[in-house]
Formats: sequence, C-alpha cells, structure tokens
Amino acid sequence: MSLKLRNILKLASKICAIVFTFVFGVFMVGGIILFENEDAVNTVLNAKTQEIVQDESDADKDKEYYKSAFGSVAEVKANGEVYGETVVAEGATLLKNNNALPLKAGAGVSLFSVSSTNPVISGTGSSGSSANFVTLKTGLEEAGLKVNADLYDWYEDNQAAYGRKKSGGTVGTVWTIGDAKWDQISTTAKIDPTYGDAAIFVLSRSGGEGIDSTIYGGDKSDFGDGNYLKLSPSETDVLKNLKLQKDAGVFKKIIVLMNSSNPVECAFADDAQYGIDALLWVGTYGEVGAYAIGDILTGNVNPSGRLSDTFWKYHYLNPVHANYATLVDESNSVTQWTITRTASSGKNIVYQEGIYMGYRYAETRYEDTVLKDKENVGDFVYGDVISYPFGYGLSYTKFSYSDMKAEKTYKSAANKLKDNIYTVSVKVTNNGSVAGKETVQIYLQKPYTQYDIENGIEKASVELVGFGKTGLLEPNASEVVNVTFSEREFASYDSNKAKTYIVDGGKYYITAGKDAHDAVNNVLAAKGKNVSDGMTAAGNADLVWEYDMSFDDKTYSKSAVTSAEITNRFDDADLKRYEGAGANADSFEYVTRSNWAGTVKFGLTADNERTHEQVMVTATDKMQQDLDKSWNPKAGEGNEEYPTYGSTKTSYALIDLRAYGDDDNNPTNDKWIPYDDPMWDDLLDQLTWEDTVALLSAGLRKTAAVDSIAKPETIDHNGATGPVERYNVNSNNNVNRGYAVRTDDERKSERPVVYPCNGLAASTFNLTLADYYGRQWGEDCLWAGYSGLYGMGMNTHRSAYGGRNFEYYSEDPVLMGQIAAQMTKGMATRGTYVYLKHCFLNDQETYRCGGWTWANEQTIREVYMKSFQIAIEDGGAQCVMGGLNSIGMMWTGVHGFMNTVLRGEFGMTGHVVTDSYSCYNGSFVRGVYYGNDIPDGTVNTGNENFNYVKDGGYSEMAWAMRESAHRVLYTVVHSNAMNDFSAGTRVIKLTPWWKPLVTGLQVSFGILFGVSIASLAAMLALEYIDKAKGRKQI
Amino acid sequence: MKDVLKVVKEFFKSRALGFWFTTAAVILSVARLSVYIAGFTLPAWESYFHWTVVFFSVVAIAAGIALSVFDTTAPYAAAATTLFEFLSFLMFMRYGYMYFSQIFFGGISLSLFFQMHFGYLWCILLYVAVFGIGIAGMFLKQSKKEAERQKETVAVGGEV
Repeated sequence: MSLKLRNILKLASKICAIVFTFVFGVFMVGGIILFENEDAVNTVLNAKTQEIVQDESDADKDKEYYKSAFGSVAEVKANGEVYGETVVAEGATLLKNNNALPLKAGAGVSLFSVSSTNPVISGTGSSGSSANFVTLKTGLEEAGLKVNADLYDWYEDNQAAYGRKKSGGTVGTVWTIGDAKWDQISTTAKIDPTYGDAAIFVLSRSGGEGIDSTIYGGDKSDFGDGNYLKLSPSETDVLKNLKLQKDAGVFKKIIVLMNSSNPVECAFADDAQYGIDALLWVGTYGEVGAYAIGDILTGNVNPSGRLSDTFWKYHYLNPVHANYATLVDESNSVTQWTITRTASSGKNIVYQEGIYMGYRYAETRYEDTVLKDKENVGDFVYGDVISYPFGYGLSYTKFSYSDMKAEKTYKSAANKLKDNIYTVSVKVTNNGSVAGKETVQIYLQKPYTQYDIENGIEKASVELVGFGKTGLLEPNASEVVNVTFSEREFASYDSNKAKTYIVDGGKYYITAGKDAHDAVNNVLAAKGKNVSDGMTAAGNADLVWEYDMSFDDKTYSKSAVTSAEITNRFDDADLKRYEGAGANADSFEYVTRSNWAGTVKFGLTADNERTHEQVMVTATDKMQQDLDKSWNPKAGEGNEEYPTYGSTKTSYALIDLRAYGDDDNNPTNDKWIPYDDPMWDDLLDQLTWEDTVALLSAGLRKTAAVDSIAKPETIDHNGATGPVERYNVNSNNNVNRGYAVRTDDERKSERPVVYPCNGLAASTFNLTLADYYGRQWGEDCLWAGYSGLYGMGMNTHRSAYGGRNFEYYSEDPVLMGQIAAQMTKGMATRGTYVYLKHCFLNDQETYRCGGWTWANEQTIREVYMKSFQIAIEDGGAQCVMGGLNSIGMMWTGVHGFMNTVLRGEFGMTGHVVTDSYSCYNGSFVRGVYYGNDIPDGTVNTGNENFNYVKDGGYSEMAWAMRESAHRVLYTVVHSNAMNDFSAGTRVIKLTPWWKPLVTGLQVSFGILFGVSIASLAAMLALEYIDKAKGRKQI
Repeated sequence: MKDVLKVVKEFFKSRALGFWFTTAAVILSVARLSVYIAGFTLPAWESYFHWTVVFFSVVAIAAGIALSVFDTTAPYAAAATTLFEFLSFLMFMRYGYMYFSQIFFGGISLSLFFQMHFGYLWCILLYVAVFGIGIAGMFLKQSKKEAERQKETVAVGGEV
C-alpha cells in the first residue's frame, strides 16, 4: 500500500470514527430517551401494543356493558350536531335589544368584519378543534334571511390582508385581531340598501391553551392600547361608520354578535357613537352553532341563555386584575417562569381579591353602597362598572314570577337525605306574545357578622345555590319551577377560628332572581330599600324568603359523603397563615367588605396605565425548603411489611371485579363490587412489582395494560369541550376498541362534532340538556374508543383573559359544578369516566408551569374547589387531572389534597393523572405517595423512577403504589373498556414495531462505530510499526 | 527551578497550533465542569445532577493534559478530550432532557433558549465549543517537530 493511499485511509478512518462515534452516541442515548417515553412514541406512530384474545367458548365474550344508541358514525354525528346546535340555541344570550330583534323572515342583512367569514368556533390547544363549520351566511340564510353576498365574498377574498393572524404553535398561540377599516371595505359591497334591514357586526376574539390574552401590553398597532378584549381601532372605525350609515338610512339596525369565550369589555354597547341596537353573545359556537344563531336572530328560537359570567364595562374594574397572571410584575420573582425550581424563580399569583371575584364582588359592593352600613365603602357606581350581571339575559317575551315558596325537609333515616334540603318553588308566567323558556335562579344571602369581621370570613351579598328552567311556555302559560339545594350552602369556611365550616348566627335570605343583580335588589327590597336609596331598580320583596339560623360550627365540620372531619388543608397556600410566609404575611390585606376602599387594588387605571398594587412576594428560606420537598423523590419511608406481589392464591381477571350482576338495560344500575371488597385485595396481591410499576409509570392519554390480570390499555384522551380525536384514534395498536373501529365504519376517520365552548353549556342553565349533552359526549367516546375523557374543564373564569376559558364553564362554582355533574352522569351511561381538570387554582395559563398560586382557604373551598366538589359528590366524577401550578410552594401532585380532600372529604374513588409530565414543578414519584396516581407521560425518565422503593425501607410508598393501582383498576373496570371482556379474555402486551428498529439501529451504528475505531487503530498501528522500522513518519 | 522553567518554556515553544486547540478544549472543559457543579448541586436542581457527567468530564480533562505532555501521545490528546466530553454530554442529555421539555413546552424559540437556567445554557454552549475546538485540534499537529516531519513527508510524496 502506498504511503499516500494509507494516509488517505487514515484520514478517512479518522473522519469515520468521529462521525460514527457521534451517531452511535446519539442513537444510544436517544434510544434510551425514546424507550423512556414509549407512550408518546407509540401514540405518534400509532404503534400496536396489545392483542386482546377472546375465549371463543365463552358465551359472554361479546358482552357490551355499555351500549351505543346508534348504528353508525353518521348517526352519532347527526345527534352531535343536534346537541351542538341546541346548546347554542339555549346558551346564546341576548344582552341588548332595542326592538331590533327578531328580524323578519326575508330581511336583508349585511355581515361586517373579517370574522363574519371566519368566526371563532373553538379554542386552541389540547381541547381545540377545527372543522368545516357551518358558515354564518349559511346559518342565517337557512333561517330565512338574505345575506349580502358581495360583502361576504369581499371579506372572504380579503382574509389574507385583514384576517386575524396567529403566531406560535397550537399551544401558546397568540392572535391578532386584524380587520379592515371602513374605507378599506369595497364601497359597492358595503353599502347595498337591499341588505339594509340590519348591519350585523361579528366581534370575535380567540383564546387557547398556553397563553392568556393581554389586558395591556399587547400588539398596540393592532389592539389600540394593547388590551385584547376591547374594541380595536379597526372595529371602532367600522362601527362608527355603520352608525353614520344608519343615520343616513342605509341600515335600519346595527346588531353585534359577540363571538368569543372571553367577553369583550362591554362599554361600547351603550356608546352613542356606535348606535348599537342589539347585542347577542354567542361564545365560540362550534361547528353547527351558526344555525342556532340564525334561528335566534329570526325568532325561530326565543333566546333563553343567561350569562354564566359577569360582563364588565371595563375589565380593569374587576379587582382580580390587580393580581391576575398576565399582570404579575416581572419583579414578583427573580427570573423567568420557565425556570421552575428555585425559590427565587417562578411567579407568584396571589388571589388577593379572596372570594370577591365576578358578581361576588360587584353585587356585594353594590349592596353595601345602598345599605350604607359599613365604613370605607368608597366610590362605587354599579352602572359604571357592570354592563350585564351574572345570570342576565333577555328574551323575546316577558316572564313574571309569583307564588314563591320555600320548604325545608329535614334529613332523617327514613328519607335517607344526607343533609337538610330546601325546595324553592316559583310560578313563572309568560306574559308576552311568543313562546319562550325562562331560567329561575335561586340566590342565598348569608349574614355578614361581627364574627366574620373578626375572623376574616367574607360573605358575598348573594350566591347562586340552585337554578331551574321552564319548558317552552306558550303565551299566558305558567309553570312552577322547583329548585332544591342543600342546607350546606348556608355554611362558610372559617380558616382562622373554627378551622372548619360554620353557619353564622343571623338572618338568611333566599330569593328567586332573574340574575344576580335582580337577586340583590330583591333582598334589598326585603330590607326596606328602594330606588331612592340608590338602588338601580326596585326589587321584589315577595320573592324573598327569610330564615334565621343559629351559630353552628359542628354540623358541617364533617363531610356529608365520607363523614371525615373537615379542617384546614390549605394553610400553606394562604400567605396569612403559611408558617413560611415571613414578612409576606403582613405585606397585604385580602379584599374585605369591611374595608372596600382600602383593600381593592386595581391593576390598571382607566387610561390603561399599569398600577403596581399587586401583592409582591419575597422568597423565604421556608419557601425554598418546601420547594425542595416538592422535588425530593424519596417519600414514604417505612419498615413495615410490603404488600404481597405475584400471589397465585387467586387468579382473578380484572373483569371478575366489575359487578355482582349485570343490568343489560342500564349498566349504571349494576351493583358494583365495592372498592373495599376483599376480592380487591386478592386481585392486588396477584400484581407483580413489575405490573404495579408498569401501571403507574405510563399514563399519557391512557391507562397502561396489565396482561397478568387481563387489564387492557385504555384510551383516555382530550378534550374538555368534547372528544377531539378521530373516531379511529389509536386504531392500529389494538387499543381502540370503539364502535367505529370495530364496525369498520366508513366515516371512522372523521372527528366528532366540534362542540361550543363550555360557557355556552353553562349559559343554558339547563340540567336536563346537560345530561343529554353528556350522553352525546359519551357516545362520541364510545365510538372513538375513549374510556376516559380529559374533561370537564373545571377551572374558574377568574378573569375574562383566561386562555382556556373556552374549556371552562363559568365564574360561579355552583353553575359550573351542577352542569358538569349532569354531563358527567350522562357520560357515565356510556361507560366513560371523566378527568375533572385542572385541580386547581390553575385559572391562568401564564406561569402555569409551576406558578405559585396563593389563596386563603375560604376562597379555595367556596369558589375554586367547589365546582370539583359538586361534580364529584353529585355527579360521581371519578378522576381528576392535577394542575401544573403549585398550591403555595407545593406542586399540586405533592400537596396532599388529593387524598385529604378529594378522596377524604369528597369521596372520589378514581385516580388522578398529572397534567403534562414535561411541565410541572415536583416529583411525580413523590406524588404517588400523596395520592397522585399516574403521569400524563412516562415515568422512569432520568432520575425519576420507583426503583428505590423495591429495595426496601419504603413500605408506606409501596402501599401507596398499591392503592394507586387499586384506584386505576377500580375506575377502568367500571368503564366501557370492559366491553367484550369475559372471564376468559386475555390481554397480550406486544412490543411495538419501532423498538426492535431502534435497537437494530443502535447495534448497526455500534458495529460501524467499532469498525471505524478498529480501522483507525489499525492505521495508527501501521504507523507505529513503520516508525519502529525507521520509515519516515509524521 | 530555573531549569524547570526552561523546560516548561521549551515545551511551550515546541508546541504547534493543535496543542493550543487542545489546551483551549481542556480549559473550556474545566469551565463547563465548574458551571455544571455550580449549577446542579444546588438543592433544587439535584435531581438533574448525575455523577457520570462529572466523571467523563474529569477523564476528558485529565486525558487532555496527560496526553499533551508527551510527543508520542500528544496527537491523541484532542481526540481523547473531545471523546470523553462527548460522553459527558450524552450523560448530561440523558439525565437532563426533561428540563428541555419544560422549557419548550409551549413551543421552541430562541428567546426561551436564552431563558434557560444558567447551568443548562452555559453547559450547552461550552459543550459545543469544546466539540468544535477539539475536533479541529484532532486534525492539527500538536508539536512543531511533528509539523516539520509532516512537511518532510509531503515533500517526498508521502502523507498528506
């Protein structure tokens, strides 16, 4: 071999060695990471992971415990469209109507704004969905209106120039508003008297996961002053010009459709320069909601929606915004939110407003300005603050209330009531000329006493405790609406003295109101007040029932469900009680009605200048220690005996633990084998250590298979506004055993209907509809093979700017909880379990990954956790998803409330999944010890695994793991995952195809690496030999 | 003492460009190791710390220094430093990748990259620098004597 050739080979082998070392190293470590995240890879690749083998000799092998009412995807979707439309028809809320609506059939209308051709039908992120939606033009034309096609086409043709635009991915999408100014719109298209019966302006805003809207500091070239929920310069320009055209006789009426889950500031609605005649809130109305909008505009449907949130004139007047996430001062932590793991980083979000958010603030301060019985109420003019109160909504007819009665039923052994029950009945009469539905809202006022002031307990002037809706009432027809609620609603949480729920001594008022403000006026009337005292309108004292209660700190100190003692569980989230708060405790005051002016700290001024009155938190040593605790994975030490693993004493399959007997007609009647039945102990004894770890280590949109007990892998998937995946999701991996895949339906690759935002579902105030709406979601799940749904979205509309408000229902926990409870029951009829999310104080997207949320216990229990409580206790919701945020310094998964409160007090029987495994602020493994059961991802990543438990010395953790497995199995066995399972059915776990491939590549590159290194070594050896021989070398 | 200084001086005078690349790689490795230890032994960051990252870094540094001293082993110094730093990097990624999914949970952007914890940010930047300099050093001569031999070889039509 020539020297030159040898040197070329040496160079080549050197380069090969570098390249293959790099590739081999990357594949080795990359392979480990892929294997550790097997679930995610399987999902992306739709890789086959299990085989289910039925016992052909078993007569029950095809048994369906949960049956569909439909025969095809087409039928399911057709039914979905019915409910998608009905929810909008009953939830869309008429806010203003100066005799503008309904429009006559055949009326000609012009649709304005780019959103008229591209409305917002859903949100973005994990629960967002898109579809070929029914256009507004179609919806209106179907209802009998004539739509200006030239104008519509102009907007459609100019979407690229004026349409809203987004930046960022699906999660964290930032939207612009866009829109054309008046002069930019085609003159011939925009002014056509043929379509002058009404100018309909579509006011749209989007929202989604990962980011909240901006209240200030947004895109000022687009938003004007940077406030996303305010009319933009383009919008004001068009509206002003529409008013000029109306004055000139071109348009008879101006109607605004507010198309957003995040309500725009409503001051514009009564601003004379815009001359708006009618305002209809339609939320993000889903795939087919346009039909309902057309029907409402034309009177085919009489609107009956009532607001599920307070609509503010200006959002900055909401005291929440002194401390809302998007306004959290950069200096309220030292570094950026993404750095989640030091006490000097992350962001502090303090619920300084306490319970006074939404109507609880506005109506309470209003009552105090009328009563004038408290110090320091300050300047508060209700009409300057609120445009449309919670519960508000107009109809095309008029209803009157009469004959209100309230009856108390005492609990007894005979009636099996868990609590005293109040039944309020109201006679509703339709006094108008068209048929319509009316919502009766029952509010409670608790006394605000000296005890409360001394112990930091706050009382809103009214709280919704129940509601009911009439059927379609013909003119002059009446219906008695009965609403029941538990006496527990009289209780308030006292975290300072009694450290449990108390019922204050004093007078309680129960009233039937048309909205929260109407309710307060009724109570004020009962107290002898009238318009001359400063009331905005006269109240009706006949609709108020008064009841005296004595002080009681015993009755509600125990859970009605479990009888567990109820006591403080969130001292560590209350900067006034947290032992590590240090000077933070005295650095602020919660909002109190005993000192409104001194404690309400707005975040912005009227000129949209930012103020700095938010609660600033300074890190303390204890905070750092607690943060470290959140991450320390070694929990559950103990030298007690470990559970039994791999017992062969019994040989149960999971299906054996389902029920004592099956009701083929109604599986919800099946008598389930109780959670604490000894059979469960035997089954859990059968699990090997590896089974347990496998079950608890993987939960990315699933529960894992356990072949030894024939537990199949399940699909537990998004989303909170209804299932969003295709009916054949995971179809190749044998996990999907939904009807669409099993029947090989020709439309199996379609997605379910895109349903409206949950705010609209809440605004229906219709529990019967919610039940059937839930059944429809259950059908979608059954056909798509979902056993669990990552919903209901139970966080609170604390602020209008919340990115995921489209997933959540309301600012009010009772409305949200009751609607979600009914939907949960409906879904259960199809064998689908729900994951209420995100538990809790995850009411913002900004800083959600580890943001430290602080609130006092009364606020947590009475506002932010209560919706979860109702859905669990009354709706039977089995599972929750934890929040990415921290409660105080502790990540939700390691805080402990999963066991102490959700299970201990509310009686939740199912499991808890984390939110995305990649983005939280504590150890999942440690979380298992605290009642967090499976990760929304895969554990055994990096340093996170259960190995330390196996070696001994962690018996408490071992038992906690067994209990977590128990909860997962108990949930799954009562779900549709057991359809087609009989005693002889086996589950065979399969190795997904990509794993051998990765291993093969690792081996191949390993060989290439070895060869290249050997070649290089050989070349160097030759060099050495030559050198030894005295030949010239380098 | 004077003799020692003279030897040291002669040693450095006899070094070629490759030696200085190797030295730079070693110095950057020391800097990166320091950053890693400072960043990941903080109590709240311990779960991302792993001893293998330190071990391979120490080997990389030690190998770089030890091999550079002798003419016969100097040609392998840059390769050894780079190789062991690469192994250290692989361990760094293997035990720390979850952090990246936290950072880029909402999408990937350069601004998020620069918001990372200083330990991650500087370790990555320094790893890249070590690899670049180390690989370059592998193709450069470590001593002037070695460079001269190459010239002679090339002159007679030998090694390129």
